[in-house]
Amino acid sequence: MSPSDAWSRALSRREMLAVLAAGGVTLFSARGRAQTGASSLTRRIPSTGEELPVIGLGSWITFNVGRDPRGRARCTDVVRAFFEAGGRVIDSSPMYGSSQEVIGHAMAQLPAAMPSLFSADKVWTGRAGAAQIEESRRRWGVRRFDLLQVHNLVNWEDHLPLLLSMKAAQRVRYVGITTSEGRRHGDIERLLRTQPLDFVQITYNIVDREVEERILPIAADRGIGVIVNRPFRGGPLVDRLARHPLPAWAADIACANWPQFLLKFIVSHPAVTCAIPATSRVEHLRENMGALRGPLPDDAMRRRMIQYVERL
Amino acid sequence: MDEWWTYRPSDLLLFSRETYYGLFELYHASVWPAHLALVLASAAPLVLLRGDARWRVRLAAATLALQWLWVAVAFHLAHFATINPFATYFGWAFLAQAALLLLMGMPPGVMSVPRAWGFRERGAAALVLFALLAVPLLGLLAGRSWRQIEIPGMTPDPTAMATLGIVILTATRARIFWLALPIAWCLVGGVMLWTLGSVEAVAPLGAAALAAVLLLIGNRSHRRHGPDHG
Repeated sequence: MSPSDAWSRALSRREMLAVLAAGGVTLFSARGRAQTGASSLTRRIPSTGEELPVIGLGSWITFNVGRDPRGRARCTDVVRAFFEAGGRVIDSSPMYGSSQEVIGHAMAQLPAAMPSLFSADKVWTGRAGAAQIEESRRRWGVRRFDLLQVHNLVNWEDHLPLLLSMKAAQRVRYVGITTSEGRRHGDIERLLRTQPLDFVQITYNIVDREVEERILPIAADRGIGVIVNRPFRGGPLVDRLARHPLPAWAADIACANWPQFLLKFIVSHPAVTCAIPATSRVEHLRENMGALRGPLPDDAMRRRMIQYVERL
Repeated sequence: MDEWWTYRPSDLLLFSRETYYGLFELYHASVWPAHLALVLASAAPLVLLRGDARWRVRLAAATLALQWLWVAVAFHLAHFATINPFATYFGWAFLAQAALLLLMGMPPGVMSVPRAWGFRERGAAALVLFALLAVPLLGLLAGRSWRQIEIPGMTPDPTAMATLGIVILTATRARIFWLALPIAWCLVGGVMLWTLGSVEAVAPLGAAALAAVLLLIGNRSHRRHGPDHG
């Protein structure tokens, strides 16, 4: 049984309708200047109903440019284009080198975008989580984070109570946990079932679909939002597919390139809240943000997308 | 780190090749004109070790130590650490190697000029010349601009490679003790370049492999120390 089939069976029709009602895709007018008259695909955060655009921005590797002024200017251009295209969610971590500082530098150049920002960061340390979070907040230049996540479940036993207490004190709005590339899925499942989480961040893409079997159904069942990292496997997936033609039927879901094809596959899963592709190039950012427009594939189209990619 | 065996080098690499190369450009611009002194320092052991006088041996070891000290502080701690949290550990390791090299030149008989030029001596000399001359050119071939090239005495890879050659050429005992960190760095630097997709990876990885082979070759004879002129 393929993971896709398992997903279809794992979510009954009734459950699917519940997911769509609670966090289903909606269209709304974009905030960005470039999007006047256009509409963006959004999903509701299950725990509050707050809407988020389904495409966010990751910062792993791409924003770690240190003190390089040209690199920082390039990243600022990417962030500017991201907000202009209607984006909101930016994700980082203290583990990503200088990425937090570079995001903070970009946001300082774009004060008008600050109200739109949905800041997602992580705690990643063996101890002293509160001090690390405060240092991260200072680097971003935000009053408080919207979402704080326990990075790769590192020391979650200490950090999760801290984050939940911060949420209770309104020092962060949402709490989550993360993993990547299929690590510790057993622990992730257990925490999704037992902890009052708002978000889980996992790796999911058209070739890595293990999470369809258990994690996505549990998140949907428990009303937990899902952020998807490594939608392009860090880049090589797009590079591999770029050697092949995009199928003509991709136009039916308004996909003009492979990144949009891959992103629409991800965000069409009803349990997914948003995907966070990372890039340091404005032209790639614009390609990615194109996935915010047009129809999403239905279940039959999703199976066709998988079959097409598997044949390549 | 949980499930550490599932992590690949690419999972631990936090920066792109473009950013890594750009770091060298920033570094070179910020420390100029230190290049003039450090390139001279990188070539100095070759000149100094043409004679056996104790002052020559000590000065050769001191210039090697100076290069490791410089790379530790100016490159790893002041620059590389801005994009790589692990660079702080690299900096401390390079400082430790600087101290070791300084110690190496102090006791009599630890370093000496080779009496005969066999395979090992020629291989070690080739390592030094490769580090001094070929590594900067290899960087250009790999796509770096001349502002971004690695320079012996200033950047870690050619410094470690040249050190391998000089120590194999001159150390009379406990060679692995002096060479452990340079070999380790060549492996780290090589894997890093390999993960970044740079053909330059062959240089440090090849240097580490050659050094291992040269270390395994049997003992060589050294010219005995002359009188201590130092």
